[in-house]
Amino acid sequence: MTEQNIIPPDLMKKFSGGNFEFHGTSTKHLKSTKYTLGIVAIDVSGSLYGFGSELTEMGRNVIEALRKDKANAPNMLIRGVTFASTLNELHGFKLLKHIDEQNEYPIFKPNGGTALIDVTYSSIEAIFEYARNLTDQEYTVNAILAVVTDGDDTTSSRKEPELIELLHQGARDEEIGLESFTRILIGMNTKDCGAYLNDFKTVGEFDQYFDMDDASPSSIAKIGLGISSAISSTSSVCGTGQASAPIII
Amino acid sequence: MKISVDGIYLPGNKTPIEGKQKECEDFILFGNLPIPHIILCDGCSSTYNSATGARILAHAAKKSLYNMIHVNRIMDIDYIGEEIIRRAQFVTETIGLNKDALAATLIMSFYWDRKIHTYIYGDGVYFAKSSKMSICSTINYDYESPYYLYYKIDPGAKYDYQLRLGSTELSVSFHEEISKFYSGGQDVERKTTNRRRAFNYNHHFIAEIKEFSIHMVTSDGVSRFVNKENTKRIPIEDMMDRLTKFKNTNGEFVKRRVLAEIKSLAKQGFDFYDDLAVACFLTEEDNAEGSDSGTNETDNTG
Repeated sequence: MTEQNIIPPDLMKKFSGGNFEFHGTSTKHLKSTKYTLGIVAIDVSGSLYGFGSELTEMGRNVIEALRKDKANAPNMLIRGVTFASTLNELHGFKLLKHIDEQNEYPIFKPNGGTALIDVTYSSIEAIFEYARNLTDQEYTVNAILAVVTDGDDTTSSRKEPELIELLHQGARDEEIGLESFTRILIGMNTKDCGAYLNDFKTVGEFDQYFDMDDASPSSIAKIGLGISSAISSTSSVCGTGQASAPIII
Repeated sequence: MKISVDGIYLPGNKTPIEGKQKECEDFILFGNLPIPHIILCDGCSSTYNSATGARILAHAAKKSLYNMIHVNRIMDIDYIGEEIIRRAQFVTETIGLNKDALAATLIMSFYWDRKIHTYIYGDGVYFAKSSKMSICSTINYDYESPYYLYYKIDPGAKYDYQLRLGSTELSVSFHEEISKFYSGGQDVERKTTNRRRAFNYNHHFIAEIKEFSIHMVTSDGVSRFVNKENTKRIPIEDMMDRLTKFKNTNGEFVKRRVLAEIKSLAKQGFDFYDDLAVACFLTEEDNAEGSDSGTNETDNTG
């Protein structure tokens, strides 16, 4: 039995309140001084029908690639979500050794609309709340959010001003205690949605926007590499007070 | 009963000594195997290679501790101190390091037969805390000149040391402060005792593991948190109390607390102007949440 297979029964804790709900590793199982919170949000809306396997593989490869970063892997807490009309949590904030990517990333079946604003809002909220929990327990925390999408928002219940307000509130809230919070937006099939995503980059105050133009298997693979690189880079500066360097996809 | 152990050492914002690299001269080794132990060294900032010397001294002390366990007999503080410095001397001579690199205080704290034993050679702080009281033992030397184990192997340096203190005879040259805080309900009683002993007296503290849940040792850097505006210092007892207010007790619990406290004090204008080494034993009942259950770690450094 490998260490990865030993899952303590009380590993995960549910966080809910207001409009949010997510899962995160209980601090009882967090032994280090610092952690990087990472969320990878993958669009599985109907317009990506036919790319379910590639997107699944991308998600799994991100986890595998992060594990290879021996120096920083023990200090990463990664949450995987997919979104179409609604958000689906694949797994909560977990240490890499506790993520079972084969089971927790089943083959995606893209279908439905695109709740881009909702998933961005919900993910930022989850990061703020979990960071607040860790900061209260005196952990040093930074964060990164990567949103991979092919399109305009079609089904969100929230509006852009709410997202802007959430970000501003978070910036003023010292109890959240994030050293830095990097946000990356990645667009696929951007022929029709490129302009929208360019604007959304500003709304969501994303640090970087990558226009991948198509959703080919090779582009999706590149996206996965880029995301794991960004998370590793963010983790490497945790505890220094600095933001991570920009990445290239 | 579970015993968790953790420690940290950090360079302070010292004024660099000309020709000498700015480096942390404090060093810690700690672990749970074969017995819970802490070894802390604080190198003399005015001697060359003292950072290296502190590390050699710490590893020499670890070896002596292991030997003690091997023969299953706790050794007298003076005897083991002699053994440690001789072992360290052999290493420095073998690698051609200047002998006075070993000028460092040494604190050894370890679990033995349901007690925590703490040996202090030089200056430093030992702090024990329970839910009802805490005891803070601070060893300070006059003129901030601790008596190092190293003087046992360098009679000339020892003679110079005594001259500096104003006497060539064995003389009383440092004092010890013990403060007890009793808190029961609303009453807090503080009792302070000052004692003076011979300069080469080595301190041996013994505390029952069941009597106190926290046993912390620090270098004298803990007394150097100074406000940049008004040069006010934080009293040692206050600092020790702050450093033991753990939010949770998993894994690197001392590191988290110390770093958080430094950050908090920085916001209030305090900085620390000497290297700082802090290490702690924490005992909890077997069914306590959030504790390390006697981990299978060998030695860790801070």
